[in-house]
Amino acid sequence: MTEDHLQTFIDEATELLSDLENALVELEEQPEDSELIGRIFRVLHTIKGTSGMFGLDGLNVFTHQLESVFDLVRQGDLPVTRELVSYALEGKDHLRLLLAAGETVDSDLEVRGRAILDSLHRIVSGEKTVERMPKVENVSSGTIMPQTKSAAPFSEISHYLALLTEFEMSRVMSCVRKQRSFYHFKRIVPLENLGEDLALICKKINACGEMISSIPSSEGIPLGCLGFEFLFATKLVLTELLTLLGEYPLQVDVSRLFAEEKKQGTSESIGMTRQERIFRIRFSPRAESLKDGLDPIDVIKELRQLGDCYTVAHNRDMPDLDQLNPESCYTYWDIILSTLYDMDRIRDVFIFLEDAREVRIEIIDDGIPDYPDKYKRLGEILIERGDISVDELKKVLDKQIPQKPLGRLLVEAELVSAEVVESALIEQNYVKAMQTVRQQSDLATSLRVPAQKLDELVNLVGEMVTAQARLNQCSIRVLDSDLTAIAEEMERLVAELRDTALNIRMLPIGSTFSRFKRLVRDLGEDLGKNVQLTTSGSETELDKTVIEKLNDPLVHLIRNCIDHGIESPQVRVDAGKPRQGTVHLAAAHAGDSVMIVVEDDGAGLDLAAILAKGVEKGLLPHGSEPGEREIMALIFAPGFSTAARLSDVSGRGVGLDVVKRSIESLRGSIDISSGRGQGTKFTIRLPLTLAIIESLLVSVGSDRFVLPLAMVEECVELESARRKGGHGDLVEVRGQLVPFVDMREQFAMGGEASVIQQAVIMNIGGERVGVVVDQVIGEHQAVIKSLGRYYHNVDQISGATIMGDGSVALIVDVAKLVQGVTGQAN
Amino acid sequence: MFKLECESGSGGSEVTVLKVSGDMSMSHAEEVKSALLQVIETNLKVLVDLEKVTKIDLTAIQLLCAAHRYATRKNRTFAFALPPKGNVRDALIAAGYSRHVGCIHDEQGSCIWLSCRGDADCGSI
Repeated sequence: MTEDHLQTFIDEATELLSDLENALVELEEQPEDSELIGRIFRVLHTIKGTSGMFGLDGLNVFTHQLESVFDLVRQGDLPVTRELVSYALEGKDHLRLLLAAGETVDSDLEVRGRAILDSLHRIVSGEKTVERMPKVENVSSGTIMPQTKSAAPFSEISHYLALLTEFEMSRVMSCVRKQRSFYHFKRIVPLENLGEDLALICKKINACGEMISSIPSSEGIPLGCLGFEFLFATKLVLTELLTLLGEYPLQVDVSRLFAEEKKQGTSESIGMTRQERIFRIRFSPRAESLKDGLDPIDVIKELRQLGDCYTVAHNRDMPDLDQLNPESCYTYWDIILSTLYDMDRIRDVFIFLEDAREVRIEIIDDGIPDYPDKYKRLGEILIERGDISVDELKKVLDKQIPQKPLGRLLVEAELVSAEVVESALIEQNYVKAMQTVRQQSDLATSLRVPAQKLDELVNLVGEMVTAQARLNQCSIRVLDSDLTAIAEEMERLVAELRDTALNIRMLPIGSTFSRFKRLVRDLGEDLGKNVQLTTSGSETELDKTVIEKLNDPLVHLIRNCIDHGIESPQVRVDAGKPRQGTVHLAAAHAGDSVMIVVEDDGAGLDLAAILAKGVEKGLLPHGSEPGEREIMALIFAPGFSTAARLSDVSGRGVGLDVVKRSIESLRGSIDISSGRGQGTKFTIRLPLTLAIIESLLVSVGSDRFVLPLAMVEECVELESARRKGGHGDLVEVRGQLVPFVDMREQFAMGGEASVIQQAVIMNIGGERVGVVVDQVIGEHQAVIKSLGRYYHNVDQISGATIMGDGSVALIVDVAKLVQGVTGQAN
Repeated sequence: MFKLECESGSGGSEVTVLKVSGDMSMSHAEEVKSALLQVIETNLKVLVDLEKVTKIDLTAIQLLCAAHRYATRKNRTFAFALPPKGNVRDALIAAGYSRHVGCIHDEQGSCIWLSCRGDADCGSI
């Protein structure tokens, strides 16, 4: 551990101790307050754990004792008294001293600590005996190694972890799931006996558990020797490892390995994803396959290369030995595969088995954190696999024998065999175990930061960006080479700082997606529809505020999909569709935007009904023949609904226009496409960040404006190309006529237009529109400032930005600008 | 080299041990089937020793499974002399034959695959 890490711990622990003191003082006034007691316990627990990691054993041991006392308080076995709080406060003071003392605890400090603990134990001893920690003993020169498993120092070996191969990583994950501990072990071996010594070390490590990896090391190795580092996983405790290895290995925290993986992005391997997923595979080869030279075991072994595999063989219909044809295959398999590879890679394993009786590959867990107890029940799994029918399950459940597990009931009813049930239970247990591990590793790699601190940081960074722009301008003016060099370096650093600060606010959208799983389940049940939620791109990161504001619109859209889109199971079956409908959520980066898709495989939009309703509500003139897109866009109109009946869920016509406005308030856009009988797809496009916008700086007269760069296609001169005709003005751009909006006219600004103006051709919701200005100045990174509440209702300006010279440029909401013009024309 | 040996029990034991060595794959499937049939027909208690088997495939695994069912039907005992290990055990685990419960035919709970339950890289949760 580096000095920096230790210092960070000391700073954080100091804050925690202040918190502890405040809580203890409050507790004296409110001895029954469980919230305070919980807070105290959590502080002690945190300090105990982290101090152990840094090898601050004195602090670790003492905190453990205090924690045990407060555990009794938390469980209600020890009342809070004035005396208890007094000694606890003394204990808190002692923790501060121990923190300052570091690794070396002198005898005076030990005596003081013992006295405090004895006082606390005297208070406790009337109710319960507090477990005594074993004495900390010196094992070797200077290194204190406590004898309990949990207090082993953790080893900082990020350099090693970064070298692990994909296979080694998959072994690490497998061992994490089996809740093994990981250890790092170093040995120096003289060259003369290298082979034998190395073989012996490997044998010892293998006796401890599973050797994950070994690498040579070069630091501090004497001449004539080689050094090796080993990483292994084990379920043995430290004392057992000491017996087998002859010395203590150092425990390793592999959770940072997953953090590194997440940071580095997709693996270089083809077909790998960043999320481990679980697949259910049913593989049933043809009877003649053995005769044709295929050994299905080789196929399964190939699957095992892709990740962890749980295989159950079924051969119920195999004849007895005297009838058996040895060259026939009587076996089929259910396989649960946990892998980073995608579906295509798994399909490749079966590429030469297209004539197999059955090869069915389904994804049953997509890597999104979910509640472990919310995975499918046994009956659902068996139905999905086709091992029993809905009616058969219903018959058994209707018998209502609560004491017996469902699996046993099904076997006794001779509907399935025991190994079929076993296979389904393997799937259930495995997915639940993965979900549990995923939840835990998520917690381990995250850091809580108050959102307000982040906002302050981003704000300050924004100010820096502005100040840096001013520095740039100054350096251009002054023409001093040193100043220019500094300004350039500042520009680079500020850009990095800006990106990093904005990135801190980025969170993967996966946690939002996972909340919807429950919504879809509950909603499906309420409406009598069988719906599943599938997702992709859950690792896509968005600004935290955007995610929060996106929650409601997504809920609306999903509700609409399930209520209006997905048909009832019978209707779907009659239409030749699978009984279960699917709502799919997807997220992906696209340049400086994020695309989020919500789609269903339901009935699709009824364009005729929408058109009729649109005419009825006066949104379209009677007899008009609008295009498909125009008709579909009607559903976003306020109060629009074709629903014949209202449900609790939707149909009131207040959903989709609110959705559209919410998304537009995030400077995003929403698009819709649909096929009758096939389904409907909503595509939401959002900027990656709300704080800063890449823009095009333009001027009209002496005023400056900012246009979103992402929407700009090109700039053309406007003078001789100008043509009047039809509604509004038109400009010719490479043979195409593009309507334009003159900002000077639109904003009623005075002054003379310049002889040659510029038309900035922009793409607004798929339509090309030109925005006419006097001058295009150039690209500019605008830090967005809101206009303040007095200008809240100004429609066509969405904010302002401060320029390098301190002047203000207004940010134009181009979509509203265009709407304003078309509104006037109408 | 592939070899099949049958050793009758000594000292009054009624157990017969069928020892298989070498390549127990499809290339010797018919021989293995005949040997299994014969030893089950003529003996009440049969143990199969696979310690010296160097190669095993699905054919052999199916034969052993069917042999156990056949023996059970004929009221014979059929089991492994020793729990399989090494590459034989690896093949069984890969083939999904390491079980926690016997199949539907295993009325007496004597399924031979129960002794192959794997705590190795796969099979345990």
